[in-house]
Amino acid sequence: MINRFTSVLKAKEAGIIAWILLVGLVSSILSPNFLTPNNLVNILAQSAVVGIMAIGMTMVIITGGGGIDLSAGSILGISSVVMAMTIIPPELFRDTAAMLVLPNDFWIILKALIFCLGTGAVCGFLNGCMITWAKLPPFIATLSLMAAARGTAAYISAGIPTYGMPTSLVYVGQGSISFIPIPVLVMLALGLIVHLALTRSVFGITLFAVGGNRETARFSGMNVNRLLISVYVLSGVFAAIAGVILSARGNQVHPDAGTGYELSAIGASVIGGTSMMGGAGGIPGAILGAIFMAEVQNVINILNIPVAYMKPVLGGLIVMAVLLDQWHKKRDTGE
Amino acid sequence: MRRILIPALCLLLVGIMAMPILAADKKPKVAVVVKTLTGDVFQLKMAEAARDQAIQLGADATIYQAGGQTAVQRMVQIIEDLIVQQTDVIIISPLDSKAVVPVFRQAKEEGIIIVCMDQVAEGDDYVTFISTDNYAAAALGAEFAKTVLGGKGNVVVIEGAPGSSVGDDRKNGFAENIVKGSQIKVVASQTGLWTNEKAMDATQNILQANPNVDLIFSCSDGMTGGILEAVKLAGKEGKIKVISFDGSSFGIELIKSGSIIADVAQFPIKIGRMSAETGLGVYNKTIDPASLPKFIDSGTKLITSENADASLADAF
Repeated sequence: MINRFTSVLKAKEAGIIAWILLVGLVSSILSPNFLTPNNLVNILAQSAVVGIMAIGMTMVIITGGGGIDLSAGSILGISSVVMAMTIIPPELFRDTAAMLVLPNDFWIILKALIFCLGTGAVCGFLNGCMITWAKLPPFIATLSLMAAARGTAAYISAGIPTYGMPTSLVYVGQGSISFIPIPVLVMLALGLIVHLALTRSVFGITLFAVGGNRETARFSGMNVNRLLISVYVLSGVFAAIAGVILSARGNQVHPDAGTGYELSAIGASVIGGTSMMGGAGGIPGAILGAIFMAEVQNVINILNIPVAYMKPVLGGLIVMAVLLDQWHKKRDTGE
Repeated sequence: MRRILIPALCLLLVGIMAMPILAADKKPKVAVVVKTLTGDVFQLKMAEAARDQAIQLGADATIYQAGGQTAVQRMVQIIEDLIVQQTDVIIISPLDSKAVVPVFRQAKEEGIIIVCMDQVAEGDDYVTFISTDNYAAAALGAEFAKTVLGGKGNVVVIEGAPGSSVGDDRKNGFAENIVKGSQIKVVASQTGLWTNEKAMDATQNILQANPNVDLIFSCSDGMTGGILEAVKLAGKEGKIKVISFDGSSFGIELIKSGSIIADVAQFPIKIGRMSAETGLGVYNKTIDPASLPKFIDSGTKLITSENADASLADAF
């Protein structure tokens, strides 16, 4: 029992868990409304979109060599626009006037989801091709796709948001199983699958090997390009899934949806202990990082902290969390 | 082959670029410059109205967008390009009231007529500023809220993005007037960053901290959908009243379906048309810029269930 307890304390996620608890403790003292079951469930639900994106982002960052996916937020936007265009009849699409009431047609919704995830995969594939074949730095490649995907989303939607999704889809965003919101279940399920893949499969071994030292991995006969492409495709697909959740939760599809979310996802990964140098990191930390960011946002709203303080507070907390985590790691490794 | 191809391509390029100059006639050139048309129906309708009105008045008009709610530098570049192109009239909704001042001065020195619409810049290099009086309009919403609540209760304000003068005017117009001569308290005022999803999260969090909210004031129709989803998720549908701002057809439909009780309307199409008319009027010397007021209120109206149907006709 004591062994298990100390192993939790030594886990690489210990730093972020400590931060979540610390902010939670201070908030519960400052407001009686923080530590309520409803509020905690809300925080989890609000972390899901960034959390799902952070799963893909973490894999991308682990590949090293400046691996980053700046296009994730734009992929979220274009995939959800594609989903909306498939679901909504052409004559109603771009109808801003009313909350649409759409039938729960299983096949149409399935088709829309396939198109949505497909769009994410195609965007990710383009990123992968630019990075492996054209040898562009990931920052530049994904930056260009960030602009291109957002522009295309604006173009095909004529820049107009659409309100009202079929109720079955809204259930995916707003419903709960027992008391856990479905977005949270989706995040945890995807997180578990990727965590297992990273820790117990050839894919995971290859990923960390490539992230640790790309040349060594190549000389060991690993197909580095194939790995990079599949990681960027996965990041695109996760961004698209995040788009489904975001649209379903807000009951709306907006061509500007997800703007800036790539930065939140990168933040969540880094707060959760993933190294920007590549080769180190993990999914549990990334999800905890997303929960931490949602918690801070929640506290700002609950305590009614003025708007102007919001971003500096969030920025400051990110820096402190990472600094403390680094200090923690150095102490552990005795450097 | 390459030796011929490159000069040929260059010639072709020069030809294409020269075409508009060769084809140019004496029509005045009007540029409509806005933040973004993406996901912002207000800006879209305002810009289109300004362009169409200018074309109808016999000008050449084009819309330029900076490409984002915060793309300040891009907007400054657009104005610099327009000065080089010797545009006659610039109708603009400045993203940032300070950043555009130097290029405005430069444009004025070149004799370009600048009309600000919806948002204003500092200095006096523009001939006039046409917009909704956001403070007064939000105060109109506050008066209605006071009557509905019977002078007591708890209200929440969902604000626009921090630093936006329009958003601040609406927030202050509502928050300062609702407490005047009443026992109403503003229990929370938080940003929804002009977006649906952030407004939804903020509302959800605020409702956890304040179980006894009677009314929510949304600073834009673009955030009201998210606010309503959060109210629904909190199980307070029908118990919490919502007043919105903009008067878009979406907002009016929400009044008709009973989801919100009122919407403070502004008139982007009117703002766009008036801007084009004023700008071209000064250009044609039918309007004396010296006699123009620095601010022209394009008017506002409170839409409730009583006048919703009638208001839908001229809504954007």
